[in-house]
Amino acid sequence: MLAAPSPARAQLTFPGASPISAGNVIVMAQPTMVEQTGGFQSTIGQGVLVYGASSNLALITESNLLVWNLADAMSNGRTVRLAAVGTGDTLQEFRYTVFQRDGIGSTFRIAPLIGVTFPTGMDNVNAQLPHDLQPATGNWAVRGAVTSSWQTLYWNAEAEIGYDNRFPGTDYEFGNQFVADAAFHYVLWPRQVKPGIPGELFASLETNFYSDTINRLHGQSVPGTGGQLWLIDPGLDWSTPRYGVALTALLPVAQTSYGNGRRYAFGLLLHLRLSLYTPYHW
Amino acid sequence: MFSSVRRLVAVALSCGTVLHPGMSAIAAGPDNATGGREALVIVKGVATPFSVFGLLSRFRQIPGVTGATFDLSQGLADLTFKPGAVVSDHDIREAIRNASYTPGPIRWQNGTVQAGHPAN
Repeated sequence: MLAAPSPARAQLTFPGASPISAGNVIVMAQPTMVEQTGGFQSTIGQGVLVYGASSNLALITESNLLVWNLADAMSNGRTVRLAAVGTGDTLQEFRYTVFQRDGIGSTFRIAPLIGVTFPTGMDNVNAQLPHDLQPATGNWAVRGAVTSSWQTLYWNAEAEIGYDNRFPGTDYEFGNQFVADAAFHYVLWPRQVKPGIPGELFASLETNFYSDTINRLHGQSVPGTGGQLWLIDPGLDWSTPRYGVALTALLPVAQTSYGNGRRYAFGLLLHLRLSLYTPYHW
Repeated sequence: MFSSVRRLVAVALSCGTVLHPGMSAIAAGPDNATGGREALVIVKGVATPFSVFGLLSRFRQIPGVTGATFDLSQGLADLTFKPGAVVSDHDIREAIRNASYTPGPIRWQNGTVQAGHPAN
């Protein structure tokens, strides 16, 4: 099974190249529930802070503030429920817009990003559970990605392609991860964008592909780790100038795992965002 | 009525011509200070409601601005100023660039046009 059902990023399920004004602070809360076969369940309370440091530079902080993993295990012939609860890792990203083409009611942008994952979480809260069911990885990681956004008055399209390179922490090293994401959002309401509308209701369809290399313990391959996962995420997003609320299902289209019978069943992501402003910026 | 007037204003601004009879044809320039008036500004690149907040916040940071609204459908910002406020085209364009958008033509006027997209 893949290392961590990392649920979401700065957009609904991944970061795009959407505009953010200098001084604009967007606070997001993204509780996500993921169900896997075999009695494995993961609930992640993720907090995301997006700060417009300048007109081109955005700082994105993503932290898994609370991770609640549950798993069924056999003990003395009985099935017992084991839990690993604690804080997860924190990812700090720097996104810079390198290409921007604006029109009235439309924009197309390309923005590469780099990021560092800090092992801020608890990677060994329950020794009875395997490493990939602990709340955090215990690994440092660096990531590089290219994002793009094409927004119009009635639809938005976003894409990301990136790679996470992980480094061993406490002798255990999660596999590196390749990610590819795409999203399409379409305005359901209002039928015509006019002055004075309170907000817009979007139908969203996103997709995420993850490919993880195998995990290693003391440099040796760990059976049952790594693999590929392809998700498709239909949802609804209510967006106003000040806040947004979205509900998205995370549904597996295809998955392969290297020897582990655990499979991604489904996930559910609630996305809440609030826009704030500070006069401080570069 | 107002929406059709605003549409005319937006078309005029985007074409760089003045069609609205109530709008004074003041040339845009760095010394174009205002005195208790209103400015209509085309802003390019704003396509979603969630982008509006940051733009309006930048406008409100300009000293002398008393109100700012944005009409998403026409890319048209409507700024009002304190009487006697000194605000230049440069101040407005700088606010738009800081908001990560592209400024278009600016037209100054004394009349009042209905507000567009509110900030909340």
